[in-house]
Amino acid sequence: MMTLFNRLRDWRRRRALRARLDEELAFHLEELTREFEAKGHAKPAAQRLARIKLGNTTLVQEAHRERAGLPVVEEWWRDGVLAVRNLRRRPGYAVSMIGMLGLGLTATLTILVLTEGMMREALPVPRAHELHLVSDREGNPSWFSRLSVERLQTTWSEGAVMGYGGDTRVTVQRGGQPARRASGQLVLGNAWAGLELGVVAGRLFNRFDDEIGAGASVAVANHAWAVAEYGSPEAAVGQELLVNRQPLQIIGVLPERFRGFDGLNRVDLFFPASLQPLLAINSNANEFGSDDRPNDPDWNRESRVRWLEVLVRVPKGVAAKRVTPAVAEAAAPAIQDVLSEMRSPYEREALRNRTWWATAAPGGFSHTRNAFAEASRLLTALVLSLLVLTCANLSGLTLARTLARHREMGVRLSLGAGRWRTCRLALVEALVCGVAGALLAMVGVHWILPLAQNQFAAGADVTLAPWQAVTLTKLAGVALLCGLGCALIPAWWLSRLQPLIALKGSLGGGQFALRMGRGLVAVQLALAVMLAAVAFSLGREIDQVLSQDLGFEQDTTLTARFDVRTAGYTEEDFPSLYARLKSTAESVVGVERVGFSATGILSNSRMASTTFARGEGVGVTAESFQTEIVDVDYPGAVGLKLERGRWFSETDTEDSPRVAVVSQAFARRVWGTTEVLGNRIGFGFEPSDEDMEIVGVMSDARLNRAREDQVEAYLLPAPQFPAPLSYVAVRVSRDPEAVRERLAEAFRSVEPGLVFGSWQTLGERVDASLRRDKASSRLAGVVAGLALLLGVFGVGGSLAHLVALRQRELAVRIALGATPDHLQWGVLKDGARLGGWGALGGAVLIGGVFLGGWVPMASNPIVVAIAMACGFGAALVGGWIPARRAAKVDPIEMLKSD
Amino acid sequence: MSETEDRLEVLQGTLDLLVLKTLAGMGSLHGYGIARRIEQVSGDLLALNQGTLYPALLRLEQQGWISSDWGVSENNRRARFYKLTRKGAKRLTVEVDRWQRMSAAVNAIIAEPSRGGAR
Repeated sequence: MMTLFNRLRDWRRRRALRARLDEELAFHLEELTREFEAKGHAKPAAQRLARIKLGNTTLVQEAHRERAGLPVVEEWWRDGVLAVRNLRRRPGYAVSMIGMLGLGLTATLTILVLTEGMMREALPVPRAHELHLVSDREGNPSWFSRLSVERLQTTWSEGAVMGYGGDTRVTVQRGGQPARRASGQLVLGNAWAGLELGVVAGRLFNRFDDEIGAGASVAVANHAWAVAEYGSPEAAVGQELLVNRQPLQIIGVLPERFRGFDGLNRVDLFFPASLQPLLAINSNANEFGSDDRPNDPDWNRESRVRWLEVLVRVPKGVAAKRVTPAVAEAAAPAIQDVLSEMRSPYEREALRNRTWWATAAPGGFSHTRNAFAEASRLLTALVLSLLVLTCANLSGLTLARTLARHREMGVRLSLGAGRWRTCRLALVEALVCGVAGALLAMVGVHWILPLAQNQFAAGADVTLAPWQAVTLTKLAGVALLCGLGCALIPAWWLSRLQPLIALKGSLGGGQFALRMGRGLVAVQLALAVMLAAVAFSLGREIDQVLSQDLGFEQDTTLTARFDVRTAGYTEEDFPSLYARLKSTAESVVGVERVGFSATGILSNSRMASTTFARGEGVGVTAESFQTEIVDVDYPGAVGLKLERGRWFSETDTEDSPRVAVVSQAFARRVWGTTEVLGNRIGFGFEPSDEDMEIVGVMSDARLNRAREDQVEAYLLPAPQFPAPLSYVAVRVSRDPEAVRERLAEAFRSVEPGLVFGSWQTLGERVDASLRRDKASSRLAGVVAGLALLLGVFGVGGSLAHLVALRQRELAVRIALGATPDHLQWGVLKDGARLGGWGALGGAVLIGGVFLGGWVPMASNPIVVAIAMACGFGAALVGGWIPARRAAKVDPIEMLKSD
Repeated sequence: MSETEDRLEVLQGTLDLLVLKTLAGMGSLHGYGIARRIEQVSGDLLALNQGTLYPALLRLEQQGWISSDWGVSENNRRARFYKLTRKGAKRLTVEVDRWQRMSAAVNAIIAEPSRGGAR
């Protein structure tokens, strides 16, 4: 190691060492001369003898230089310089090589950085690899009551247990400033200690601040939020603020890199879990209701409300599967309690068979991350295809260039250049292009990354850093592989080149190489066909979604979310509040109808209840179905369509028989028909007077996502099922743009404490819901377009090279009477043959992709046929210019040049 | 011409040992001094192509066995002086031991009486 270090040091000062050697040799020669003179020789003779004794100084200098340098590195360096010179001499070739590689590598780097930031970043806590999420079989978080989590802290003795609620919106007010929304999260007091998380200012709350029924009115702030609000973390500590109208004090600020328990979405404020009833945070929970007693509104005391996600530390050497029995033991009392009141045998069975897993979660669990993982698979597949395609194209280009230089290579080999050295030149040239492409990617990623982040990782609060050692190492690896991939076939051909045959101007084994080149072009076309099929499929699917009736009015309905509970309103306030809001909205010019619902359409929020169907011919007895509570005007405001029966009316009051309107999908699923008016559904196992009669069947609507299967859901009238309605829909008669701001202002003036989210038309919510799909489709389209373009160039380059090699033969054929059209058709036929092979190969690849289940929609035969036609067309376009050139061969000119 | 007659070429691989040993005995020496000393100690029996000393000195320096610095020779000329490092002293022990085992083995083979001539 030391020797290597010293050699590197000497290599850096090799010029100084050379001067030192010269001085030492001069001194040595002088001393020897003096020695011989002292023995009686005359000066000239003494000098001659001294030189003889010193030996051949040129050889000495060479040996010294070799020792003072790094010969292997210098040799590669020289080859690199030569490669750069060669590339500079052919700028067109160099630009296309570097440009194409740069493009492919930019896409690769973008995906690498995105994936690294979204998927691999661990929570900034010590030994993050120990963190495991208590989850279901699919890896989704399981929810627990506080009592179960506290029991788990006893039953799991191997490491810490950390419980926290889902992040939610809270209303924050500072001093006299208007109320604003922020994100908040309830956390058990000992969770911070379990994470071993530090603090940048103040302190974190602990288990003493989180005593049930006596929780301290404190909060811990996110670093970025504290800086934005108060200027610095230190300034934030000790500040008082109103959260959901309750006074709290900020006691500490978290480290900058800690965003929240899921590692991706920033949470602004964290509160002790014991403040749940005080802050009226009642979302993200699974409640079991029963007749024996009402649930305690303080969830901390209620074992029938499951609302806490759990991270456990599993130390190294301890099997994660040991968490399962510990959780089962901890959850057993709560399950027994629920089982004792559960009448449905199906539900009892499901609850008894419930089990848990510990899923490694060094970065916490995030739904955003899961959604990204799905998109990233497609992105990675697209980018890999693009890279393979680029390499195939460049390999063909490099091969054509190497074949064109066969005479030069023959000369080199004849002059004694080693075969490895000759091959190495081709390799180094491709590697230089790879390095330049990587540099281009490092520049390009600055423009592409924000775009990609916006399209594929929207909502995630991650700082994407392209300059991480891991990412750059991977980029270097990919660039190296690409370079090698481009040069392998040319290098292989060079290794077999016979100098004498090359000097004669014949290609020798080049015919085989040419066939390989054409094979590469066919592979390119096949990949292009596959990518085109994927792009068409994605685009077609989005078109289908957009052209379908989504079941609601998109253009003239403005919607917004708000939270009445966090604004401090109680159940008694609700009727008057909604009446005030409704009359305020109706006073705005252009507003036609105003409706409220509990969760809303495309709002990222939903409610579900276990529902029992009554009567004969029931296909599904009990299942969890999506439920929505609406006021009487809501269906009309959002434009839901009625198929049978009626909507809710003013007569559906608290005292009248309970009613429901079900979706067609729900009716079909439960009864196998939509003729369900008069049928009954209920929440209990046994039929009761509380059951709802179905009075209407509505058309299916995409309530949760623009791209989803038909939703099995039903609506309930708000007067019969009192609940906070947190979604307002306003039907307008004119351009929503003109009404939007006035509406927001009107609500602000009448209810300043109520914070509304952004006002969006349902069409805008559809767009947002399809954003990632559209981005994927667009990207697939761009990649497919590039692939087809590369296919055109590939075919063009390959045939042009062939025409150049066959110039003499073509000239002779013209001289013998062949017409230019005939020759042109011959070359075009070659192109068509390549196109045919490419299209067939593409069909095979599509079949593989389909069977592999990666992109199932690529199976549509029309899409496949169009994609194959595109590949074939690309080959014909690519063949056109070489075909024209073949037709223009002048036999007289050719004979003259001979 | 008589100066080089009957002299022995330095065996390949032994130059390091000779240089290390010379420096161990003489302390700090320049290249000419090392070459001169080797020839003197060997009774002028070893013929050293003196230029080859310099790449060897650089190699030993890179291995950390010797170190060098500029100094002034007895003739008041600037010269590069080499000296043994602690690591070099340890290496010398290894080299000497190896040489002794090697020469003993060669001597043993030579000393064995011939048992018959070629047929």
